[in-house]
Amino acid sequence: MAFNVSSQVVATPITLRAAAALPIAAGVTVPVSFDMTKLQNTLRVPIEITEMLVTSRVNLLVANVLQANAEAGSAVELNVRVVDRSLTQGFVPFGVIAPWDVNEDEVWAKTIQANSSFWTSRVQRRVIFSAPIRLRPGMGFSVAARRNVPALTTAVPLSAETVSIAFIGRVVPGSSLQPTAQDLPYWIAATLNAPTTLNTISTVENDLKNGLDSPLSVSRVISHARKYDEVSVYATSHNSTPSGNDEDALMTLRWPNGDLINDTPVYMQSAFIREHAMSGSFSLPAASRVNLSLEYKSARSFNWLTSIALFGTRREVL
Amino acid sequence: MAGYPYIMQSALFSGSVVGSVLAPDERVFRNTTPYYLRVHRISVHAAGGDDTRYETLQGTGVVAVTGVRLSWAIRFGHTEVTSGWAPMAATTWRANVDEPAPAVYFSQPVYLAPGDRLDVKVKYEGGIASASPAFFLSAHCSAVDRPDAIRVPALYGWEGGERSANSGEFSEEVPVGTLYNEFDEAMHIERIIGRLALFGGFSTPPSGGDPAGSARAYQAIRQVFADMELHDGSKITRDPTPFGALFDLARQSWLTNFSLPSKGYIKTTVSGNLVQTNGTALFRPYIGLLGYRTIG
Repeated sequence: MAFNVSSQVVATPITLRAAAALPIAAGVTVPVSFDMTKLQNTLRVPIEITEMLVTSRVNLLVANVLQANAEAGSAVELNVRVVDRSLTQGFVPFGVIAPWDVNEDEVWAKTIQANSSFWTSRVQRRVIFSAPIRLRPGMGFSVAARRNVPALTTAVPLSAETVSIAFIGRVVPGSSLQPTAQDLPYWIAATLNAPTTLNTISTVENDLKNGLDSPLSVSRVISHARKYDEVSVYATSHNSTPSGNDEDALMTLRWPNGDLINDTPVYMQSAFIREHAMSGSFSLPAASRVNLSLEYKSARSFNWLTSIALFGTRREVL
Repeated sequence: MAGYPYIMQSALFSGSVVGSVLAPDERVFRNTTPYYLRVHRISVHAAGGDDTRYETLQGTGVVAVTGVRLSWAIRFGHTEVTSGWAPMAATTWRANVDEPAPAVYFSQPVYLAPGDRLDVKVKYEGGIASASPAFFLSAHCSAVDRPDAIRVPALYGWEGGERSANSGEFSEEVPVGTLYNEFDEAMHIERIIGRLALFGGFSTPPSGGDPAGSARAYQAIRQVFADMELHDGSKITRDPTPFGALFDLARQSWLTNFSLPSKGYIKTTVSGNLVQTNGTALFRPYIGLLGYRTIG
């Protein structure tokens, strides 16, 4: 499959892709597993996966409802494993798989398709791995997805939400040696609920705890806020931290050694601007945790869910 | 604590910016850690307004809904970064994003020494529509051990005159002292930033442009030209060149990576012929540069 061009070997690209339809229901739905055979290296040579792309699509079954703001992916959670190694600590929200990219803006996603029958929302998250994941023949990924949203509206019915996941990479040149250990990505996420009945909330104890046996080199802290309305309830993603005028969420983040992210609590707007990610790598030891609390100065007429994820790598043998 | 991210932030003005006769905000962040702080970015972003999706400064340091234009003056310790006021629209930049950012990202490491202060002043001009954003200032840093070389950024910028979409021919010169290396050492110029801001007060988006709130001004970038040369007469653009060709449309900057000698400067003439026939858009050209100096 690979061919030589002078002294260079050109690697053949490869994509593993599977999709699953998630039923629409309030609460935590039964997880749906993706077809593992489609996410498996069925070649007789090793492959390297360099990128993961997750796409969610949902149709809003109301004609020309421009104000509908239910958004694909906002209620989706994913559990990803490679061979027998977890890449996510349980189920992590779709919104914090990767920082929000302005090119994947939910407004554009909503304008893809609208006709007299339905209105489509399509949102993506793309992760480029800092180190490729090498899969020997027969190895593969196993992925499960579910929806998790406190309530749903009956005013804006949704079709089943279709989630597709693609692992993108290349065929490994035959002369390449198999690595002894690999840097595998890992997501740890927590979701905090700010209901309207409370003006301030603070949370967190055992969330954002490294459940691995090895230290996690954290390269990003990713946030994603979404709202749902008890009255006309949409599973919507706001793609922003709460507005400074309205929610003014103050975030207190403590690193494993107890130090604060700053001397004083930080506005989420300041911490997670635009791309909703904070950079600056650090090592999270096994069984150690990052403490996060959110304090909302005021609450609007809808409820907020804010998710925070730590994203990093750890070294393991596959 | 070395190796952990560290954020310094403060709320700025919140309220109506109509008219913008506001006193400038000034904030001082002090590095109270025992470490050097590597500064990754400094940002001023807006929350609230009529569309919280645009919670950050939409466009080019311009809050599109209100039309307010921000300028900042930044100092690292005793060292001026912006040489007085610099328009944010001329001095903000980030990588790989098809939209301007309300922040300047430093791709080379720049540092605040322990005990040093980061001074930022922000002023607000020309608000038009009646929205009431809340502004926030933040600096994202990481605590690091003492680096081998202490580098500080240089951010210089110029704001051109406001013009309507069909205002016809014009020509403006960027004053020589604006993109000027006043220091005794050479300055590494990473990029020259060029933008056409589309802002405030319009009811119809310009032909080919994005809906209200965007500052890309697709049509205008073909009609507005920049012509540049160095202090010694060396041309760095052979001819007047359309903004869209010179300043990568997505990143709105020209990656130059050259050394501007002490007392050297970049001469720039911005000219054009705005002949769009629809919309009530208003444009302003911005030219800036992002550079670095090694001071220790």
